[in-house]
Amino acid sequence: MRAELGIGVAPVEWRHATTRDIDSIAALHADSWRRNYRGAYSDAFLDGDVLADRLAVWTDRLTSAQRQNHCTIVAECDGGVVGFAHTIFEHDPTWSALLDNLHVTHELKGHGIGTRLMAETAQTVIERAPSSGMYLWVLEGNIAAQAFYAARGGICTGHESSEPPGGGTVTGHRYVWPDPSVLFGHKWL
Amino acid sequence: MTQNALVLGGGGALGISWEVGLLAGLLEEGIDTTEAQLIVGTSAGSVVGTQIAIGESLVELLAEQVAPDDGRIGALIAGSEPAATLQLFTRWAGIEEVTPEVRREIGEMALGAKTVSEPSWVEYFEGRLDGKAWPDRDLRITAVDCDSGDFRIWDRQSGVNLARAVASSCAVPGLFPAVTVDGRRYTDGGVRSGTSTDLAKGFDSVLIVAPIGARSEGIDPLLGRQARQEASALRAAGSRVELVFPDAGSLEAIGLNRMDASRRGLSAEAGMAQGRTLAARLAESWAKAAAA
Repeated sequence: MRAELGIGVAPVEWRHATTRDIDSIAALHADSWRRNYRGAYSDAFLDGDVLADRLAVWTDRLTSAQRQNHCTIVAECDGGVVGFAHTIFEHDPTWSALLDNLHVTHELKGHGIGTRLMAETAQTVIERAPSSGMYLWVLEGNIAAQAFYAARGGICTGHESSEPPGGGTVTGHRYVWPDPSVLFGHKWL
Repeated sequence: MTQNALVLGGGGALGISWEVGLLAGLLEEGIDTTEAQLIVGTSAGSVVGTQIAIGESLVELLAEQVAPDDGRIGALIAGSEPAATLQLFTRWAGIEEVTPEVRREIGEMALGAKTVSEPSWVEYFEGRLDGKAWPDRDLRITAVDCDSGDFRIWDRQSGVNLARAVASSCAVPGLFPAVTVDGRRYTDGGVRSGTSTDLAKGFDSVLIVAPIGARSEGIDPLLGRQARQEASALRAAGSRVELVFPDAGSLEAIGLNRMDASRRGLSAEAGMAQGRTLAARLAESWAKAAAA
């Protein structure tokens, strides 16, 4: 993929994840959950097993035989993973592709990395199935993220409760893009 | 039943962003200020207060602030003359005490200023408020009569169109056109006070969100003094009052031009961070009032 959008002096490269990214993606994922999911996920989980849990999940995802059903796009800057987006194609008969995880390293938030990861994801989803929609879940209390997605054309179509890793109950709001192409080739980029 | 009042002050385009961010940050921490029994809105605060009162969610309001600039605010400002605006603000900043005479003087300058046309100005608010009518709750919007200097409070009993009421409250003198209601012309409610917290007299808990007042130059010292005096008066009358100005991080995000639409996202985010921090302090007074 293309190398654009420099952070400071270093350019950001957008590419598909490989098995070599397992450790860095898992570390970023765990750090992001610790910072942003406090109060929703249990403290015992966030302070304890979260990294081991994410390592197991990412090892499975990036070495899985089912890799054609999902894709992970990473943003790499200065040799490190600074963001990633993981999508499961044809996940739901109504809402289609699920953008399951979108995380950007804490220090580089606000530089458009998340927006660009969404655009790259939308592009991949549409290249695979032109009529596919895309959706994701946002935690109920995460007003900033809900506004971020609403500002990028996401439509809130409901909410559901589920059990997060580590136990308990969380409520998620479903944000949907019936036509994900609104996310790319757009005034955002 | 005890009552909460939310007082939203003036502060330009970035005052809107910061206020929305601040209230969203409070909501993330579990304090929903949108349920206040009274909302008082002045200028920027009249936009945010009205959007809340007509039922728009803070997620929607925040999404508006973090979306790319549509250029409309810049286009509306382009109708004014910077030198004349600066002259008016210099006079405003030099005011020791705001009296009806002083308000008339500012009102006269507002009427003489070159600005975008009044219909274009009002139309902007009709679009922004989606043609909605006054909500069935206690929303009070401030304005000042340019010719008499009288203070005017618009509410659902006033018989004025909602968008026109908000447009009048936001009509920053020298920058935007005075707005006509029943043959009289009105300018920004901030000419009377950036906050007009006295309208919340008698409420148990009052949150004042004041975008202007923390800096040491321009109209900040005057509006800051007004807000603090109003807060003291309400405390003396028995209300629990929290007066919030932008903190250092918010001031840096807002910058020196409160109409710089390119900084809306930054200002909203700084407001959010401040709101999350404020929550711990506000939780006690606000929650007590709501639960009692």
